[in-house]
Amino acid sequence: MVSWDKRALPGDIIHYPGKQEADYYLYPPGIHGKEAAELLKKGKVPGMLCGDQLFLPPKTFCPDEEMSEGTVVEVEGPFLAALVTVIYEDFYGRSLEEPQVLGLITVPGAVGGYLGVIKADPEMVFPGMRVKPVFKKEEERTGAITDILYWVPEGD
Amino acid sequence: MERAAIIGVGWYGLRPTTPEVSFREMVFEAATRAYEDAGIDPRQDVDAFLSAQEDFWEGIAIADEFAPEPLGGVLRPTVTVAGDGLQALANAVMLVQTGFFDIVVVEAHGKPSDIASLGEIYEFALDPIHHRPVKPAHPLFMMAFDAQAYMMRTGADPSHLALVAAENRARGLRNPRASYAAKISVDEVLEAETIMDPLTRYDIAGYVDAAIVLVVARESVAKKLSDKPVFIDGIGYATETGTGTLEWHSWGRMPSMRVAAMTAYAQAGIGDPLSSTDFAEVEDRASHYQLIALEELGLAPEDQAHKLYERGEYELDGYYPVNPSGGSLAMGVALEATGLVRLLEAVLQLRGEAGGHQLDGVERAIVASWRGPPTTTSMVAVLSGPEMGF
Repeated sequence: MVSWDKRALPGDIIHYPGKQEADYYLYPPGIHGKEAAELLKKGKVPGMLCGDQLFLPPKTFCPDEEMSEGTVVEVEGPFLAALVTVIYEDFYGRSLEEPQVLGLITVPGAVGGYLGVIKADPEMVFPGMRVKPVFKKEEERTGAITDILYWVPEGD
Repeated sequence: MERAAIIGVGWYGLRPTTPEVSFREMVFEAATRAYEDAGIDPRQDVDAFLSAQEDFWEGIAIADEFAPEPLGGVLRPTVTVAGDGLQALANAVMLVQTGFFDIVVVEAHGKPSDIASLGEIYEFALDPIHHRPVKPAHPLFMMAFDAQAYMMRTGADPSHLALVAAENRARGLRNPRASYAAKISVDEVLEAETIMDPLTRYDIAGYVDAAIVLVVARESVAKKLSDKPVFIDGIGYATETGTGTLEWHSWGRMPSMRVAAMTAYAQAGIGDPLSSTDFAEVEDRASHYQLIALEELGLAPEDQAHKLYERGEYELDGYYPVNPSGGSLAMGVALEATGLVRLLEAVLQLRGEAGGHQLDGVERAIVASWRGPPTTTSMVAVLSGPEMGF
């Protein structure tokens, strides 16, 4: 048997199933991540100042010529969903039980934004809509992005 | 400095499934064809091998150790580039231009049909601090954000996206390598199920298994060995702030492609790409990316690509044909081999061997690709055909 003797019948084709054992890992958020986590625990939205420019969310390094490190600050809003999409199917083409509204949530003048689920009627969402965060109860917060449960339209 | 030239190409697959072969056999099949095309013996004539692959696509840690054998690279310099095949090609060009390597082989492959949890692998590529915990219902959500930002900036609407999807899929009907070719109307694209607003099922390319192998030679060597070398006049690649800071991406744009293009054009001595080249094979794994690519490559004025597309400027008989192969929308996404699929099609065009979608009298081409979501890495190459090289 050589390589050009290919098997074509379904019964001749075999697979050995396997699993990638990479489902547990510890991700350190870094020095700035710790500062951001403290703000999240307080129910505040963190950002990062690089000079006068605000970036969302905070990461370790500023994307500037000096490769400087930014300063973590509280962002008070007003928050808006600069981009918003409604997802109806998952990667495998399966319809979702309920469409998911996903937004890139930012403040005017900032670079970037938070990826966030928006709890809203999919028919009523639009880019530029004002939103606000809904945090977990204080005693349940861990300093993770999941301390923000979701975002809702301003006024709800 | 001598240019590098492609003197052999080989491919295997370009089908949604290839159950008859393993990924290593797929590489072997493509390599065998490339070596035959170039008329070389890999065990005697090749100085180094470059493989583009990514461990999680293979389901194997340290998968680069699997690269030498199916290429004929055992006990030879072999290195893996964790990126698109065009990035491996750029590294091959640099190796050749050192003067120490006469012939270098480049390989890229993708076998998504073996990846039973492809969606979860994409989720795993998302930033673990800020993205993955949010649990987006579709891991490629960034494509919808880019589409929306592009439309808001330019005034394009979903019908412009659908026009790209319909035309590319129809062009693929002339291309035997295009598994997703279809005669489909703009209305059918628009009326298909919305996956993520504003993208419908047919705005997004499907997946294919494929391996592509290239034989790259120093110019003087290429001219001795081949009567149809395709010269790499320029090649560049760049990354934005990256997947770890995807939020900071310039939504609706691809600045990495613009930078890669400027690098490639400068090497090729190109000022105006429209007048200096004859056609392009460009990124289109979702319909709007083809419009974005045209602007970033300087093939359309800022915010105007959709209007020029509407006027038919990029049709096969238009002012500047784009994606005569049908692009990824017709040919599918082959993971890290996607850029080399675009390049393969450009090489065949320049050699006059494209078949049913052959363009007349083409001598110079632009190839542009993106590493795909959630990355912000792009690659651009400028190629000259045999007639331009001698």
